Amino acid sequence: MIGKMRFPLVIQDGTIARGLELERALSSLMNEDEFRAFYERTARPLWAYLSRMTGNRQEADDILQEAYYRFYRAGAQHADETHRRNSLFQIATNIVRDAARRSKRRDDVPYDEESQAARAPRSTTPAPDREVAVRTDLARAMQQLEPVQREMLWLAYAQGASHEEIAEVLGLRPVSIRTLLLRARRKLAGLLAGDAAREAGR
Amino acid sequence: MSAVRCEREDELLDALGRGFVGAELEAHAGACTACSELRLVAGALLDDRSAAMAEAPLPAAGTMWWRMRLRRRQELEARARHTLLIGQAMTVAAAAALAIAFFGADLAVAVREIVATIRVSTPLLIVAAFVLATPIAGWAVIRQK
Repeated sequence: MIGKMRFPLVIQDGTIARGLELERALSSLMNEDEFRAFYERTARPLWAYLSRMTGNRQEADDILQEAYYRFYRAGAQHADETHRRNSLFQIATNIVRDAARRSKRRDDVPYDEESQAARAPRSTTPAPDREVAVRTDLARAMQQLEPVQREMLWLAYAQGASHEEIAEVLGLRPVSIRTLLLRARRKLAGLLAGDAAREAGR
Repeated sequence: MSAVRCEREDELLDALGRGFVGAELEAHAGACTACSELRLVAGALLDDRSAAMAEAPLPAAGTMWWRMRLRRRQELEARARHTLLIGQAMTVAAAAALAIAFFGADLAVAVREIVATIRVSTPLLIVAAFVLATPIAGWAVIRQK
C-alpha cells in the first residue's frame, strides 16, 4: 500500500489523489530498463551527429539531454526500433534548428571547428597527420554546405540511413531526397577534392 | 561530374561501413565517377563519425534517467500548482461577483457611510493597505518556495 503511494504529498497543499495522478502520468512513459537499453544504443551516434551539426561540444551535450527528455516526455509508441530512433533524431534535429535560429550561430560556428581545435592539443594518442588533415578538410568543406545538406549527408553516409528515414528525420518528402542528396554529395566531393588538390600543390 | 547514380553504390557504402573494400570494387570505384565521389564523401564522414563517437562525453544512462524523471515530476507539479491557482482565483472571483450581485447596492451605501463617518486620511489608507497586503505577500512567497 505504502509502496504504491510513492508521491503522496508532492503538492504542498494538494491531496493524495493528486500524488497518484502524478504517478500515473509518470508511469505511462517509457520504463527505466527500456530507456537504458535505448540510450545505450543511440546516445553515441546521436552525440556524434549533434556535435558535427552544431560544431560545439557543449551545445551537443545540452541538446542531447534535451532531446532525450522531449522524447521521453512525448511518450509516443513506435512501431519498431528504427522509428523510435528516427523520432529521437527528428527531435534532436528540430532542437538544433531552433537553437540555430535563436542564436544565429549556425552560420558563424564552423562545422566541428571547436572540437577539431580542442581535440588536437589534448589528445594523448595523436592521430596520424594525414588523418587530422582529412578531418580538418572535412570540417572546412562541411562549413560551406547548407545546414540541411550537412544533416542529409551525415544521416546518409555516416549513419547509413535510408532515403525514407532521412525524409522522416528531416521533415522532407522522400521523393526529393535522392536529388538533394546527390547534389549535396557532389558539392562536398568537389570541396574535398579542391582541398586535396590545394594540399598537393603546396 | 555526373549526377547519375551507380548501381554499385550500396555495395560500396556497405564495404566502407565494414572498413574493407575488395580489390575488384576498389578498381570499379577508381573508374566510376559516382563511386569515387561516394568513396571520398562517405569515407571522410565515416572516419569523422568514428572519431566523434570515440570522444563522446556521455552521462551514464542511470543519471540521464534520474534527471528526466526529476524534471518531468517538477513539470507536472508546476502544472498542477498552476491549475490549482487558477481554480482558486476563479472561486474568489465568483464569490466576489455573487456578493456584489446580492449585496452590491447595500455594500456601496455602507462603504460610503463608513468613509464619510470616519473621514479616512490618505496615510491611514496606506497603512490599512499595507496591513492587508503583508500577509498576502508572505503567503505568496511561501508558496513560491
